[in-house]
Amino acid sequence: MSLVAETLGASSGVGYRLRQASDLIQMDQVFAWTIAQVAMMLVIEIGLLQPLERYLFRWRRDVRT
Amino acid sequence: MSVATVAGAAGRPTRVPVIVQRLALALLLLGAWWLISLAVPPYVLPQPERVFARLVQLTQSGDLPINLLTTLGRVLAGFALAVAIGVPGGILLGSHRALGTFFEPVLPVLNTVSSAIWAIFAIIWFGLSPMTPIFVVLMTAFPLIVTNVWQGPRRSTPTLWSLRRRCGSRAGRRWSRSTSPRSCRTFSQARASPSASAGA
Repeated sequence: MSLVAETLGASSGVGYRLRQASDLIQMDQVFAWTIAQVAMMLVIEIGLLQPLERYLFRWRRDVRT
Repeated sequence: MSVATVAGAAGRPTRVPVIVQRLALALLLLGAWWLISLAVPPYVLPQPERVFARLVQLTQSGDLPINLLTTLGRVLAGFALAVAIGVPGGILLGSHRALGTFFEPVLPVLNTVSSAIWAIFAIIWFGLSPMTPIFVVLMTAFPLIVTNVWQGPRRSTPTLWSLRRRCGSRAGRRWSRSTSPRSCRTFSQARASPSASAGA
């Protein structure tokens, strides 16, 4: 959703650069920005959010097993 | 390491580590991408090596990290605002039945408004500024957070609160031991929000 907003109404950020690259039909840049964005979100999800959730809800592990 | 069972040639099951399966899948997708890119012009589907060369060039020029951090900062700012408003709001609505009943119809309406529509509103109100994506993230994450946090006090209050009160537990302790963990748990169901905030 941030990318949607940046595509429509920002002058910086990944969404803005994606739109700029697609306007210039630079598909290699479109793919590069997309891969970078997906990689960043995977790193945050796997490296930060999932361990944080496991730590915060470690008290539930006994209930589940 | 987790393993998956795959039927072998002689009908005997063999164990393939998940990491090997993931690598095989990645190679398969990369190979398919490369093969298709040979058949179509680069402005339709560029070759993988060209994309990775561009990734390296954008990283070396500093363009990629700056823009990634800019987007990440906006997502975190919008999500932090949504948490700051949504968590107290959700607890308030869940703790007071009358308030919850009164405001209940607002949340499905907010949840159904697409982020693209919020983006149009944001452009009208804030123009081309960093506030535009922050506002869109806020308005998309806020109803999700309120809805999920709301379920915490709603589920825990009637049973656990009365039980703890009968046992002589103080209000603050009752909140920290029953309402708060429930709210945390239901809030975590909206955890996908930061990821979705950046991507979807």
